[in-house]
Amino acid sequence: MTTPAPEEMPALGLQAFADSLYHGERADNYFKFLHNFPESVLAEVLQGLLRKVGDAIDTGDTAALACFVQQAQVRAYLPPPESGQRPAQMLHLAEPVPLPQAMLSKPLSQSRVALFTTGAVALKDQEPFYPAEWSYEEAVRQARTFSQRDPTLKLIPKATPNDQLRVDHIAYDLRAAERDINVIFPLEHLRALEVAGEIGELAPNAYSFHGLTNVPRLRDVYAPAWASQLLQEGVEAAVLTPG
Amino acid sequence: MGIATVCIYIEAFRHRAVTLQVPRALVTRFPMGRNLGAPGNAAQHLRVLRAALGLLEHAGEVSTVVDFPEA
Repeated sequence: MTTPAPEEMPALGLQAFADSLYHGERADNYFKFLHNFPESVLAEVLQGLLRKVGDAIDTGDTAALACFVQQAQVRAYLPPPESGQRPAQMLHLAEPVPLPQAMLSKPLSQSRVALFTTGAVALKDQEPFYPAEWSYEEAVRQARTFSQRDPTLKLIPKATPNDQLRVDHIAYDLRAAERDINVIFPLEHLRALEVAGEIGELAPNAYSFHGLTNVPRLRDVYAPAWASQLLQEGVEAAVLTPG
Repeated sequence: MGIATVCIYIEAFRHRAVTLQVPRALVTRFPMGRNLGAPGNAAQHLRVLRAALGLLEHAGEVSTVVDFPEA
């Protein structure tokens, strides 16, 4: 499926434009949150955004602009009804499941720590997390199919340099991670903490899967199996990203 | 026994950490896809990471959600 040329796209209203950012023909994972706002709120947010852009141009200071965008994203993902907006898409489980809570049995400086991500990080020579016959752009537009897919776990050796990694996730904006993967996968930083003795040992592998997946299957089948695998590999603690 | 975990959440999904009662969550004020901060800001990433690791050591036996103060 190719992106239509701009002159071939139908005329859009504001809401339709925002909807097109959400895994649609103008897919934009940074600003797709605009799709969650009703049109009246959307207009207010976009007007505020444009004002902040103007200020940033005049002052050269983007901090206020960055804060505005981040807070707009927070507002967009608030669960109804407090948000006063169309219901944001949430991850629904049949009922809340009490989460097991393990405690460290010894100091962190003596513990084996693993990095575990839902951010779809992979080695450059590994298969992508989406069907190989799709381009990344096509995978983004097929987001709704991912909730039917079983997750796949990829192992990333602890010594892997950043330039041997890539990100495949189809539901968050990848540009920051492509510039510096530490923003969602701080394996490099964890190696430094291991050398400094702040953690006892970094696990031999980091673990990665695509978080947009069949959640009941993940919960009931794959997560328990993966947890057993980590325990067998001597993992005592895990840093989970991104949430 | 088991594996002690800490998750680095962004503020937009803080309510999920609370609802799910995750064991330990550090919540940062960065956009989606940038949980530890801006690209290239290694000092900031390390502050986030150390704060998260601190929860592994010091958080109690109930769900703990802590807000990282930097934006």
